[in-house]
Amino acid sequence: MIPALKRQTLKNTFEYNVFRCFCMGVTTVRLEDEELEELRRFAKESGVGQSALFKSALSEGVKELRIKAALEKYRAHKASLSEAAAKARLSIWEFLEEMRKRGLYLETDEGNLGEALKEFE
Amino acid sequence: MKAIADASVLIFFAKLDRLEILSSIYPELYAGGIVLAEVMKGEEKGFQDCLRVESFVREGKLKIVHGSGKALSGEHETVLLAKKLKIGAVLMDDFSGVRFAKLHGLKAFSCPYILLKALKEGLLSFEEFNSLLDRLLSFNYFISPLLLKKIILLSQGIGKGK
Repeated sequence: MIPALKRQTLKNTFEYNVFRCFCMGVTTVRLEDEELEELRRFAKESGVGQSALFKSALSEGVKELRIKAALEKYRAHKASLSEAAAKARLSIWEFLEEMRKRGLYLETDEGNLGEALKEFE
Repeated sequence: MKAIADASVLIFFAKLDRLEILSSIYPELYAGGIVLAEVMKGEEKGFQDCLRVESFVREGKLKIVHGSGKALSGEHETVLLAKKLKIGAVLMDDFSGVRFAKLHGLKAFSCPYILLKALKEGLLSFEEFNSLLDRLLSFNYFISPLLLKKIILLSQGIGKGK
């Protein structure tokens, strides 16, 4: 077991970074020339390395795809609110906020609500 | 009156800062452990309104009950607990959740109904009701124009009767 302080010091070393690279998985993705050019251009513009940009784009992209898939299931009534939030890996508060931002609405069962309202007629 | 609440109702009434309406209408108010965890998950994401639910529980106005651990979601747990504890009223907004509750012979009441009930019982003035309904709609809570018109007419009728 490496003590916390030593672990922290190790993190800034060349050896640690080499070790991390070995721990990471490697995959190959074929991209269109335009897509590759766009990523390279953006990496240059934002002053980050291509590898860091690819990783960040992938991570953000997967997050967004998860949210979209969960919203789709929710809209099709194939998942309840809490199930959809869990699928999106968000809290219900965040999921409701995402819906609001995207102009989507929380739907209740209007037939049931209409029936319940008869009590007040 | 006994009722068991789902996360959506607790979240909306916490956002409206009117949780006490729930306990006034339903003095015996319950929620499941999964539901409370779902609501409190908002705290770590910066949704401070969930602290109102925490206080509500601390004050003893919302009793937390734990199910068998077989529930798959908050809505599922709410329905299973309602059946286990023989609670006929489920406070829930979610479309699929409401359908599931009805399938189990339970009565599901959503936020607009609870607001109207509060107006009828004198817990809200007509102006307060209107303002809370407006705020509920601003959270992107969908009520079709026809049903919204009915709610407004009913609220006016209740308001006149006072």
